[in-house]
Order: sequence, then C-alpha cells, then structure tokens
Amino acid sequence: MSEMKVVNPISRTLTAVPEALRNLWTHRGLIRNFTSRDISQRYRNSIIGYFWTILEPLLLSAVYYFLFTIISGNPEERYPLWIILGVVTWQFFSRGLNESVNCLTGNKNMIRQIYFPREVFAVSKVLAQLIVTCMSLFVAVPFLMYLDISLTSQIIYVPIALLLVTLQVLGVGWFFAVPNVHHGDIAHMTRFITRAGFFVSPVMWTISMAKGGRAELLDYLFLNPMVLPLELMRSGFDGTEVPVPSWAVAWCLSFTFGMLILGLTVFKKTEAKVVKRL
Amino acid sequence: MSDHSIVMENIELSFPRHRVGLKSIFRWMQRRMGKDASIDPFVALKDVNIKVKKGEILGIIGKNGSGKSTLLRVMSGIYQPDEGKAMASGPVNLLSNVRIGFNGNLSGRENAYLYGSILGHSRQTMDSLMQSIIEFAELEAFIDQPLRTYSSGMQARLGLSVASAVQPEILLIDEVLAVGDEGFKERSRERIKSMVQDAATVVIVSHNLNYQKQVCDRMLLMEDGRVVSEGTPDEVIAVYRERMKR
Repeated sequence: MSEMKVVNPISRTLTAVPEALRNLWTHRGLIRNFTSRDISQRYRNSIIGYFWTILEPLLLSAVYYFLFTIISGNPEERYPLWIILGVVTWQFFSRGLNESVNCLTGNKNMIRQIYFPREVFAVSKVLAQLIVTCMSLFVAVPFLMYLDISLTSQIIYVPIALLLVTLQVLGVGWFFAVPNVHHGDIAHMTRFITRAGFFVSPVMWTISMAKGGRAELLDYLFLNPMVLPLELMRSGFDGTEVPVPSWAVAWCLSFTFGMLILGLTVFKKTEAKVVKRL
Repeated sequence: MSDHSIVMENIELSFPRHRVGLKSIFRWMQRRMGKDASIDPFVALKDVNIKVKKGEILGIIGKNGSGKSTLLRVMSGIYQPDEGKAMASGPVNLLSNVRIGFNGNLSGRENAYLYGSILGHSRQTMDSLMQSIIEFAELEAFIDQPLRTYSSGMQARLGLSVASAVQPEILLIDEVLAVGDEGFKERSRERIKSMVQDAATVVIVSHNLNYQKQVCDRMLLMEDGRVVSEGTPDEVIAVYRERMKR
C-alpha cells in the first residue's frame, strides 16, 4: 500500500529553488550524458576537430586587433592577451545565453514525449559551453609565454569569473525561457543583448583604457554585470589589480545570485503550463 | 491509503488556439466592453475520471484525436491538467516514441546510454544491461557504428531494446508494438507482453483490438476527450464497433 501523489506537481514559490537543485543532483548522470553528446557532436565533421575551439577565438581576436590598431595606433603590449581573454569569455556568455533561453523551444520533441525535470536542459547546454570555453583558454598560454607573464595566486579569479558567467547565463536564460515559448520577440531581444553587449562590455577594450574618457559615464558602465567577470579573467591571468570598484562588485554578485533565484523560481512555476504551447 | 496505482480526478485539459500577445489585450478590452471576443480553446480532455487498480491492465481505445495520447501524457506528468488532479503511487514510465534523444552522429552504444539515462537509469544499470540490450536488438556487428548508418528498423530495434530492458512498476504504452521486421515484431510483442505481465500496472493505448482483447483486464473508450464507455474488453469493443458504423 503506498501513498498517492500528484504526478510532477508544480513547485511552490519558496521551495522551487531547492527542489530544482535536488532534481539536478539526482539527474547528474543525464546531465553528463547530454553534455558529452553536445561536445563530441560539435566538431564531428571537421578535419581539425577540437582545434577549432582554439582557432576560432584566435582568428577573431586577430581581426579585432587589426581593427583596433587601425583606429587608435599603437596599443599596449598586453592588449593581444586582453582581447583574446575578452573574446573567449564573451563567446561563452553569448552562446550560453542563447542556449539557455532556448532550452524549452529547442527540445520540444523530447519534452513532449517523456518527462524529466526540464531544468536539466539549460544546465547541460551551458555546461557544454563552459567546458569548450575552458579548452579555448589554452590559447592564452603562448601569449603568456611571449609576454613573459608568470601566473600568480590571482589565477583563482578565472574560475570565479567563469562561475559568475555560468550563473548569470542560467538565471537570465531561465527567466526568459518560458516567455520565449510564447513570443518570437524574446529571441530577437537576446540577439540584441549579445550583439550590443559586445560593445558596451570590455571585450575589445578594458576598463583601464576607458578611464581616459568621461568618468561620470564610467559609473553607468559598471551596471553591466558582465564587466566584473571580463575584468576578473584578465586580472586572473596577468596578475594586475581588478579595476572594478567594490560597489560594482557587490552589484554584480547580487545581480547574479538574485537573477539565478528569480529566474529559476519563475521557470519552475511556469514551465509545466507552457508545455502544451510548445 | 489505497490499492490504486493511478487516480485521475476530473481531469480537464485544453490547448489554446491563440498566442498571448498584443491582440489578447484588445480581446480582453473588448470582453470588458461586453463583446464576446474570446477564442475557444481546443478541449482535449474533459471530465476524465479514471482509477487504475494495482496490478490491473487497462486498455484505452478511440478514434484518432479522441485524446488517448494526451491522456497518457497527463498521466506521466508531461502535461499538467488545467483542472483536476492526476495522481500515481510511484514513478510513471511512458513508452511512446522509442527513439527519444537519438542522434545520428553518435554510435549505437552511445545512443543506448543516452536513451537509458533519459529513461532514468543509472550508468551502472546500463553497464550491466548493455550486453542483453545489444543481443536483443541483434546489433552486435553495428553497435559501435554511427546511428546514421542504421536503417530505421534497426534504430527502432535499438530503442525498444533499451526501453524494455528495465522492468517499470507503472507502465504506459502508446502504440509502440509494431517496429522492425516480422521476426523482431514477434519478439518485441513477446517482450512487451512479459513487461505487461510483470509490471504492477499497465495502461495501453492501441488500435490493435485483438491484442487489447487478449491482454487487458478492463477497457475504456474515448471520444472527443471524454470517457464514453467502460467495462470488459468485449463490451467496450462492441460499443466501439457500433459507434464506428455510424
């Protein structure tokens, strides 16, 4: 004799986040399989395979470097390193956000045929992007050697930066995943965020370069939650001080965790009802 | 406390026909002004009350579009009902498409592991079952080839072999009985029969009336999202045939 339970009930508001985390833990095997499928499939038909993860940011950075040298003459010695770290980090952000916003629409066939907690999709997709990003980071090694930079204990900033981007991408992605089922507008908006964000985030430039501009505008810039991870990446590798004021660090952290909790709660509350619109 | 495996109370589910957008604001305003501007949703299930006893094999028949598959999806938790409650005494396994998550670029073995984990089996379980899965699907020579080199029958064999490898407690089956060539069809029918006999509780949706008649303890007839007849297989099939004539 066993108790009757409602099949996959919709979470209560306050227990949504712990429930989702527990689901993710019990489905870790599934997440691992999805992630490794995504990674091994990505370069399946290419000749140089995984080498693309390094080559692509390298080529992009070369283009930006060329462009920037035309515009502003002689850049600093470390500029190539900064730009390549910026490009790798930004690619993680834009691809991860795209994947997590589309976590329901992109898996509609599977969602309609079998039930498992749907938060698994976004996590496995973003994890795959994270692993690819970590592999791309080896591109920094020749630059570090050429510039004669030895790693300091500040290298700990790098995993912190990657964690921040991961959580931001998941939080924002979960928040918009359900609206994205209703409206195509969300996809346009995400594309705009990742394209415009590229320019207002320190990807092609750095905060220290921007210090010469108008100081009162710089404060607005720190409202961009991607500033901290991008600058942490650079300081992590070259050992310089992080050029972000403490209020901006606090803002970025509260945005990241606030958005994660909000996004996951909204997702858990609404995803069940939106399945029939898929 | 109850001796039921699945209980569905006053289930209602409808599919919206329109998108939520700017127009829905206009429609809302029109309704406020007393005009009838609502778009009726498509009602897929209405007033469905079903109790499946532990150990029972329940068959569901009905025309295409009568809500059979939707009902199974509500039972397994894919759709949340708009009204009413769907309850079960344990995890519910829905067997509908046996090629879920299949990817042409991965090998048959990798796909089997992936499908297994989608079904909720741990890696250890899959490791220990792998040999029997491959043997049952008769794919020893091909298992490490990419799935895109498989014929559709081979893919279906692999899928059914994985799906039926672990004996679930509550099993919902949606028309997966006919895959592969005659030889495999026969064996898969046997396999599903033994699954049906071993599982504590089974709900089968099928158009194969003879099969249903053989295995089911009780049957339901669905029409336009409602249960219109309920009883022994012979009774319900007679009603169904009668209604099909009209």
